[in-house]
Amino acid sequence: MLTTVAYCCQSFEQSVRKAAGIAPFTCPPYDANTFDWRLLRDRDLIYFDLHGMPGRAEWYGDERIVALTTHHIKRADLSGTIIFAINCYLADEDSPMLDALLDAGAKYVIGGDGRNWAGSRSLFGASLLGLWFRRLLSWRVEPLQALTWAKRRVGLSLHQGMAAKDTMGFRAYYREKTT
Amino acid sequence: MKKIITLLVLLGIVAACAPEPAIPRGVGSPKVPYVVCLEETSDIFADTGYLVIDLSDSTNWPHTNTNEIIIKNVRWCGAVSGAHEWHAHLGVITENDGTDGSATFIHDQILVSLSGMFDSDHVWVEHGLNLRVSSGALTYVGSSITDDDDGTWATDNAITATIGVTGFVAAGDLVLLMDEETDGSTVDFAICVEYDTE
Repeated sequence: MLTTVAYCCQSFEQSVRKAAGIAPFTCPPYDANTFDWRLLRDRDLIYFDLHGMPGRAEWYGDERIVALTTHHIKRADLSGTIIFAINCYLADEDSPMLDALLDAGAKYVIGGDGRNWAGSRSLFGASLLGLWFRRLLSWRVEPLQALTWAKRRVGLSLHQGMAAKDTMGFRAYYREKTT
Repeated sequence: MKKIITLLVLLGIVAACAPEPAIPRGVGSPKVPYVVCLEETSDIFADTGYLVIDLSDSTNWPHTNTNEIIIKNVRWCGAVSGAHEWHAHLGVITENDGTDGSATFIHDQILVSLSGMFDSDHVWVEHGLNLRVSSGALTYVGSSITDDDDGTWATDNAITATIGVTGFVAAGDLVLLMDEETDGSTVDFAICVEYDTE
């Protein structure tokens, strides 16, 4: 069984509940000061649906409340964890949040550069990708294969063409281990 | 009547099937840091306090949130008129009342004029330094450099502020104290602070 934790904007709770398959922590009421970063430890999958900002070392919930920073991520041991994040700008060049997640030991970080799109209630675009990615992982499909198949599923979606098209740009990021 | 009901039902079905708008998961270009600057050119000659950021005043200061200051960068320069010691302190009000108040300092300069000038540029990396005050102390800072029970920081003592007016300090505010250690000289300075609030 896949151990999962999800953290999202309060306004995205409905869609994240469906995509991640669990009740998420939301910002608000949680924020960077009250969210327990230890919840990120020892998970197979962490699902994020927060707001990003270009070049910033933090993610935001509703009303620009700071939800999580690189300080929290670096303290959490993410060894072996797969991160799926809808957050904008995660995969931008020199993204502090991407670096922090990989430095903390994340096995893969799935995300997109620039703006990413999804609904707040229904699943389409990046949230539909998240749903299928999570399902395929739970069926023990290898992560990179799961991402490929999940993207194909999103590509079949007739709903919200722009969001689906943007989601095709999601990639898996990882650090190569050298001996 | 039947046609009206049918039309209303059809409209309801159409409305229910209308696609939900896609919402971007980003907040656009960075809005911060905020910047405040103060220039003092009146040759101060005695201990003087300044209000750099009034945390609770989001009307006159450029920030929005009012729980705590996140300081990111300070650029501070100035000149002393003679070889007498001044201490320049940057810190946070931890408590005050109608009589006096206390501040804890996070950035200090000791100015003993040999060259006559000083210049400092300090950056707090990544997220910046959180200057939250809780129970009369800075949560994330340990500093023994304090100014305790000073009437300068009383709640009803108006002091010069970065926004060009006078202000009144309270816990959580960022303040600057020019502290004359040795009599006999004057000092001018300019300071710019980049910050955010949460």
